[in-house]
Order: sequence, then C-alpha cells, then structure tokens
Amino acid sequence: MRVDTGCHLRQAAIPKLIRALFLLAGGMCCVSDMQALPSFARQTGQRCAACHVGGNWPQLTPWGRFFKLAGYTAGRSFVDKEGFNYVPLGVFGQAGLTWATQPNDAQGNPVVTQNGSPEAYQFTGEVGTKLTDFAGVFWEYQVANQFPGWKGVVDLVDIRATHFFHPGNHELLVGFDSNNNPSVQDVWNTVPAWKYPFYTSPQSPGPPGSPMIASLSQQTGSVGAYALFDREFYVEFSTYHVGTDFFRWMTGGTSLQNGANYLSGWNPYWRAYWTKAEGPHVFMAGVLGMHSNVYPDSSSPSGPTDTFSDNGFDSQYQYLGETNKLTLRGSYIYEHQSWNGSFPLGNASNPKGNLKTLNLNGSYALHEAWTFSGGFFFSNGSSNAALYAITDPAGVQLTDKPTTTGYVLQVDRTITQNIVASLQYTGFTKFNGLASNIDGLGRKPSDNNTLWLTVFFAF
Amino acid sequence: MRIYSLLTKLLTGVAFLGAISNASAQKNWNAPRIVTTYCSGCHGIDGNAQLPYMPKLSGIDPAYAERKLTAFEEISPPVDELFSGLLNLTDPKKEPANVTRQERINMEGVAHAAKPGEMKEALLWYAKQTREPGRSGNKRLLAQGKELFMDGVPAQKVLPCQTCHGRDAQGKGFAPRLAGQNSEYLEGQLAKFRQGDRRHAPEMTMVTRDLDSDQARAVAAYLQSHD
Repeated sequence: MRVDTGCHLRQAAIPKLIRALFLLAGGMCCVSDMQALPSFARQTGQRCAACHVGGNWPQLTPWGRFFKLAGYTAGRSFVDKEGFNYVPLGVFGQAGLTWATQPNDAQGNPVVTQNGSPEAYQFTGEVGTKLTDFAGVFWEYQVANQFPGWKGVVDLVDIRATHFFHPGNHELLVGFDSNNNPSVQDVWNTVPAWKYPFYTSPQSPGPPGSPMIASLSQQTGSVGAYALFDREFYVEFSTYHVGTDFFRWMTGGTSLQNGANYLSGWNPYWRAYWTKAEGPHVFMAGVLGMHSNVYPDSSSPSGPTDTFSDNGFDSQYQYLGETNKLTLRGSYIYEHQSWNGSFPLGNASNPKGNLKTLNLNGSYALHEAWTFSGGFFFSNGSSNAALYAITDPAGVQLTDKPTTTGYVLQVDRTITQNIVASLQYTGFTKFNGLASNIDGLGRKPSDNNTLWLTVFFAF
Repeated sequence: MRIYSLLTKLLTGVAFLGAISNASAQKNWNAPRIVTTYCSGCHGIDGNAQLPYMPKLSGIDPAYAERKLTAFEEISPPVDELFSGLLNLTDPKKEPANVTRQERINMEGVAHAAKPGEMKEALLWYAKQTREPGRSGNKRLLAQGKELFMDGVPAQKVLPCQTCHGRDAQGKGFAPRLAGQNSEYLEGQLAKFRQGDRRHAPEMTMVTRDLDSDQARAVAAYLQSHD
C-alpha cells in the first residue's frame, strides 16, 4: 500500500523546482534544439562526440580537427533567408574543490588558498559560428575567479577564412587566421594551448618556468595563413603583435602594462605537420616554433628586448573504435633565451639561457561516458638566480634552476554531453630543481600535490 | 621587424581578396561541398568510410538510401538530453523501424541541420562513387563466411544471404548492397537485428535469430572482402 506523506511531497517538490529553473534557463536562451558544445553543435546538428573524443572536450577527433581547419564553416548559418535557425551563443561554467597535501607552509602561510572549500572558477560566454560558407569565428569572454575577486577577460579568439581548391584529384585547403594566443589555432592536443592537462585548478601550484610560446595567451593578436594538402600535409605561418591598438578587442580585460609579456613588433610563429589516417588509426608528427621579442618591463615597453626562440616537435597517435578510443601524445619544446633587455637591468642572472619542456601523456575513452588520462611533465633549463632563486630564512640560496617534474592523473565522467565531472591528481617529484625543502622551511615537492574535483558544464 | 610588418599587411590584403573571391565562388551549394561539411567526417568524401563501424555509402542504391533518409528526416529535431532527462523525457522518441537508436543519435541532428534537399544531393553523390576493393582477411574465416552467405546453415534454419542480397551481394530490390561493406559495421547491424533494434525487416530478425557471433563475424569478413 502506498502512503502519501508530506515528506514525499517535499521530495517531489525539489526536482520540480530544479526542472523549473532549468526550463527558465532554457527559455532565456531561446533555444529549442540545444546540443553539447554549445553553438557549434547547434550549427552542425552533431553531438559533442562528433568533434571531441568520447565527448571529452577539448580533445579533438579527425572530424573536429577538419571542422576547425575548414574555418568552422560546416553546417547551417544561424540566420538565413528563412529567418533565425539557432542562437550562435553558448555558456560554460566550472566549479570544484581543491585539496592540497599541505596547503600551508611551515609558518602557517597559505600556499594553496581556499583548500577544500567549494569554489566557482569561471563563467564563460562564447560566440562560435560560421559567418558565411567561407568564414567562421570563435570568441569567448570569461569571468574568472582570481582568488580573491573576479575579473572579466577576453579568453579565446580564433577567426578564420578558408577556401578549397581541387588541383587534379587532390584537395588543397587554404586558410587565413587571426587569434590571440600562439597555438590556439592548432588542432592537436599536443601544442601549448591545448595540451594535457586540459584544465588545472587555478588554486594549484604550477611549474615556475614555461616557454614564451606558452606564455602569451590573451596578450597578443595575430594574422596568419595556412594550407592543408589532401588532409595530410599542413603548413602555417603566423605573426604575432602585442594586443594593443587594433588587437585590443582580442585582449580586453588583460592588463598589458602590468606583468604581461609585452611583445615588440611582429613575432613569427610557424607550424608544419604530417598526418595519416588508416581505418581507425590516426598518426601525426609535426614541428612548431616561435621567435619572440619581449620588453623586459611591460610598463615601459621600449629599449632592448629579450629574445626567445622556441622550437619544438610533437606527435600524436589516436585509435578511434566505436567503444574504445585511445590517444597518445608527446611534445618537446626547446627554448633559447637571450636576456638582452633583462640582463643589463639585473632581472636575469645570465645573458643567455635555455628552457626545455617535455610532456608525455595519453587518454583512454570508454563509450561517451568515461575518460581516463595520465601523463608526465618535465621542465628543465639553465640556472637563473634572478628568475628561479629560492632562499632559506638564513638567506642561503637553495636553488636557481627551473627544473620541475611531476605527473597528472585524471578521470572524467561525461554525465550528459553538457556536463563533465572530473577528478584530477597532480603530483610533483621535483620543484624548482629541488627534491626536498623547496621553500627553505622544509616543504617537500609532494606537499604541493593536489586533488581536484571539478564539474564543467556547457550549454 | 619591418619585413614582418610588410608580411602582415600582405597577408591581411590577401585574406580580404581571398574572402571576396571565395564568397562568390561558394555561393551555390553543390554535392561535394555538402558531403564535405555534413557527411565526410564519418562516411568519407568518396563514401568509403575509414571508421570501421561506420557504413560505406559509395555505390549505394539511391532508392534504398532515400528510404533511410526519409526516416531520418521524420525524426523530430534533437532535444538536449539533460533537458529531456529533467522533463522525464529520457527517451521520448520512437525511432522509425528502419533506424536504430545509434543511427538516430548520429543522424538526427545532421538531418535537421541540412537544408531540404541537401541530404538527397549528398546521397546521389555517394551513389556515383566507386566502392573501394574488398579487403582480404583470415582465409578460414572468409571460407566459413562464404559458405554461410551462399548456403546458409540449414541445421540452424539460417537462410542463405544470397537469396535476397544476390550472389555477388550487390543488393536486389529492398535488400541493400553488402559487398565491400565495413565488417565491423555489418557485425554490429547483425547483432542489432538479433536484438530487435532494427525492426523494419522481420525476415532479418528471423534469419539472424540463431546466428552466433562467430558466424556473424565470418559472414561480415567475407562481405568486406568481396568487391
């Protein structure tokens, strides 16, 4: 016999409220056929998993890569003669909890703030759509938690115009691109902008040194051109300028005068790769690089500049079965540094130096439900006390090296194609060249290890 | 850096000119363009799908393909799965009999994203393409598959496939062409017939009812090897 109790009614009322809220949110978006990665899914009518491996964004499938290289032009326009077809907008959000092995140092000062407390990290609005049959745009504006405070910035910009040529029985895709972050235009998950781990907790400590090619996000604007021949050979040349003046709309919200990497003039970026698909197997091997001139003091962009010459190679293997999908990735970047601006000012200890970074990682996706990932990261380079020195309370210098090594393990559960929950563990075996006592107060590298539980939604 | 400045201006100019010429060139949609933007990610430009669990569409019988296409278009437009879950509409849609659940998931959005007539144009394109030569495989498996295709398995009341699909598996009437099709796809479809997820051909459900998975693998391998 069923007894209808007040408790039962209350339980029923809660889902109704949640449903009502979601319905309201849906109504506000005015979208009847919402799908997955917001606007591009609406544009193409495809599920997230068509472009993202097992629905796990931002990992791309062969079709996802081609969709991007073809200028986001597949599918229908959001507006045509018959009227509006869909809303070319989307929203993302991310929240979670971070636990560090040892959130405070020996003196009780926090190294990882808000340890163990639920935090919202970001809310992002995006415009991603084909503009015409030959051009498309992807633009994101993000309001991010700065710990403390919130700040709105232009996050990711990528604009493309493309054209297909068919010489003989071949296909040649030629494209023009403008973006605000070197390598964000790339389609492989090995390049700095898209490499694993794809997201990290903003509360977690990170390696102290990263190459300049990976340090210009939201501070630059570019123009470039690329060509893809028979979907196998790719070459690209772009050139980057500091995100002022004409490019300011790509870097809105980022203070270029306050600690940014302020580029001098135009800075070349190049990329080439070869890829081959055979049945469910896809292989890629490529090179990329950038030559950057950066003012030593972004608040006073004049005089001699520091020069960074980054050269790297990367490779990826992907197996795409119907149920099982495996991706293995590797990348290595060697940076040659000339501190022509910083050395005379005492901001660098040597006139020249280098930084090497290596990333080896992989992901396995089961159905469109689970993704298991793991990887190692290594960074190493020449000593530079002005950049990397750590001293103990007695003033004795413990290190002047950037060497940092560690690993990242991650499990993602795609709950619906719009919501992904992730558990990520980041472990350090060496930090700033030290395997122990990394702050002069007895802190171990593993004290910086973090466990991160996060939920990401996209509508 | 003057050279980069010059190069930048040059690139911007070329981009602008390219965009203008492109706009006029691509005003009219045509079959290769439709196939490239909607279909090639899974089925390939020439219809010889690289992904082994996707069907090859090259050389497909246009009449058979059109029946399938009509079914895709009859499915109501996709609704976000979270919203449908919250509304207790976890699986509100009934697929047409000749569409499996997986096909509905893969195709419903695309069928509605394309303009009317575009999908048909794509199918006509695929019908004209040449199916790539069959791939060889394990000889014992192929021999077993051939025997099953030609003679069936009388003891299990499995009828010979050739009865409906033709001796060369080129298809006849309502029975589609199977020669050269991806074996993983065929195996999957045989399993779906057995499980009742493909409901439009009761005779296939009956024929495959007693087929075991090894036999299904053998006949799929044989068909893939066949030109």
